[in-house]
Parts: sequence; C-alpha cells; structure tokens
Amino acid sequence: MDRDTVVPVLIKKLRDRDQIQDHYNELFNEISPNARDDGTSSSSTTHQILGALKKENTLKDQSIEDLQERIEIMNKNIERLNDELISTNIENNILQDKFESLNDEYNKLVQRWLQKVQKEADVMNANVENINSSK
Amino acid sequence: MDEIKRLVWKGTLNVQIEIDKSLIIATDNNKSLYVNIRIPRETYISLFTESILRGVKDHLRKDLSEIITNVWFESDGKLLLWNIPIGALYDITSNLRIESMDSISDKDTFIQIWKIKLVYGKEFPAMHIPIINGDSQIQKYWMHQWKQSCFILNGSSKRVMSLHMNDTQLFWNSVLNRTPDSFEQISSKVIPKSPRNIPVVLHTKGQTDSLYHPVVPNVNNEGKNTTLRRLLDDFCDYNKFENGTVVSQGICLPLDLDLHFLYSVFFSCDGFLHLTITYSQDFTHDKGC
Repeated sequence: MDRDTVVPVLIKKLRDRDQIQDHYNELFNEISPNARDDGTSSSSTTHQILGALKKENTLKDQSIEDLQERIEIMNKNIERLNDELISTNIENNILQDKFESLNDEYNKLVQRWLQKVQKEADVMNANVENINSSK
Repeated sequence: MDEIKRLVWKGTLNVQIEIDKSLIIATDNNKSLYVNIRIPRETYISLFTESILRGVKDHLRKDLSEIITNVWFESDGKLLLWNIPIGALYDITSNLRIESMDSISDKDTFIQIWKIKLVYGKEFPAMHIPIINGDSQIQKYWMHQWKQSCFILNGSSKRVMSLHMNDTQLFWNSVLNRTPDSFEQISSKVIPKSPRNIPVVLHTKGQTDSLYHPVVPNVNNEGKNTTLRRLLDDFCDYNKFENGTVVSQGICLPLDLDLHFLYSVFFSCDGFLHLTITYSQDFTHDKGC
C-alpha cells in the first residue's frame, strides 16, 4: 500500500478514535503517575482520627487473622480427634467380634467337657451297678 | 508521519476503576467506590496505582504503604498484565469497538468507558509480576524492554546500553511526564533507519495473558519489505483468521501496510509494536474496520 495514501487513512482513523474517547471526557480527571499527597482532602483533626482508626483497624484485622489461624488449628485438632474416635471404634468392633468368637468357643468347650464328664460318670455308675449286682 | 506519531502519543482512555471492597471502610449502604480517570494509552497502568489509591485514601481501611504491593488490576475477572502498555491492554480486552462517531445512533448520551477493577489480595494471581520497588522497578523493566527491542532492531543492545545516564533518565521522564519531544529524540537514537528485524508483540483478542514475540525480518529473503499480511501468513492460523482484524493503537489496520512503516509510527512506549489479532469467531463486535 502506498504510504501517501495510507497516512491520511491512519490519521483519520486515529482522529475518529480520539473523537470517541474525548466525548464527555471532562468527567474523567487527568491523573499524574507521580502525584503526591496535597493534604487538602480532609481537615487535620479528621485526618488524625482517621489515621488512629486505620491503625486500630489494622490491629483488629491482625487479631482476626490470628483468630482465624487458631480456628484452623482447632479444626485440625477436631479432625484428628474424629480420626482417633473412628479408629478406636473400629478396634472396638474387631475386639467385640473376637470376644464373641472366643466366648462361643469357650461355651462349646465347656459343653464338650460336660458331655465327657457325663459319659465318664455314666460309665462309673454302670460299673458300680455291675459290681453291686454281681455281689 | 509526525501527525500520526503525535496522535499515537496523545491517545488517552477513559477508565473507570472500581476499588476492591475489601480495601474500603464498610458503610451502611455498602456502595462500590469508583475512580474515573483519563490515562494516556502509551504508559503502564501500575504507574498510576499510587495516585488512584491516594485519591480515595480517606475511604481506605489500611494505610497506603500496607496495600500498595498487594494490588493488581482486572478486567471482567481477567488479570491485566501491568507490563503491557495500557492502550494494548484495552485493545485486547474491549469488546465493543466503534470506529467513528458517525456510526453512533445516539451521540448525546454516548460515552466510551473502560471498566476495570483494582483488586487486593495476599496471594497473587498467576502471571502477575509483583511490584515491590514501586516506580523504579517499572522503570527497570521498561529499560529492559528497550534493550530487547534494540537487540531485535540492530542485532545488539549497544545503542541502549551506551545511552548517557541523563538521557536514560530523560527518556523515562518523557514517558512519565508525557513529553513527546524528548521521547522522540532519544528513541530515534535507538531505532535505526533500516532495522534488521521488527520488534512485534502479537496478542490475541480476549486473552490478556497470551503474548507472542515472532522474529520478523524487515526485508525478507526475496528482498521485499515484510507487510502485515505476510506477518499474519507466517505466524497466524490463517483459516481461523479469515475475516479477522488486526488492531493497534485502537484502530483496525489495513493488512497491506509495510511493517517497518507501521512500526516507525505505531511503536509503543516500550519499543515494541503491539498488535492485537481478532480471529473470525471473535468477530461479533469488531465492526466497521
């Protein structure tokens, strides 16, 4: 594209761009990047109170952060406690099962022992009866 | 050419900045706090952070010094990289582009505003470079950009490195204080009449964190000057680009432009030519180009 023809086109486009941006641009303040405090925004007493309140606010924010950290630690402790409870419950259930199976085994053994003793008693009784009858 | 440069340098944006609510003293009506300012396109947004906050300091919950290092800017929830000139950021993010006042039906009520947000947080978003040393950090970054652009243009950064200390400071002050003469005078010492390569940064419309630095020779192997169309052919997905547009300095560019000429009039304050590519699927709002 020929430069002589493109330059007016670009200039027109840029001017149109600026015309759009400049419409009601009085509503927007020009601002300097290195603007410094002019101290006109509030009276000195208000400024002092504001400064003190801001410092207090900072302290409060700090204490909120501290408390939040404590809450987080507490929550972690609660989580750990819950985990402990769950693991103890599981252990308890296992022990309960073990206890029941051992109890059954014990009962069976007692039953077998009684049956054995009963048999021995019956044999002894039968022997005694035989002896008595032979006399 | 001088008129184009003047218009590029004088370009401004009407910006409405909403201050993060966590920074403001809570009031009964809990209204949002806005700052309306006019910012030159050719500058970095973070240079204005302190001035913006100073303007609303009576409404802030904390002292300026406590928050200045932990703030950044967002547009529609997307981070605005402070290390890209504001004008380029606007071209990347703005949805509605109007080419001239003639295309506006209700001229009396029309106003062009870029609404962005100043956000405060303890943890920075990804891609954000924290500013811990204020303006001097921005100045160092900017100088580094010029070294890079000088290397691309000349094959070495010597021209920037050998600038006198006073000239370097004058150069930076010209960006801060908006003095086009000193900017033009010192940038002309860095930019040669026939550069080897053109420092170009390609942005994609709507993606604030996507930048691409292609190597673009001024004159190609066939001895012809690189044009904007050639650049797009080489570095863009042409199928996606069909009917797309290229925007720089807030205007849509004709694709037959000689890239060296375009650079010489449209280069940004950081020595790079920032081009925003709108692909055809994103073309719903960019009309009238």
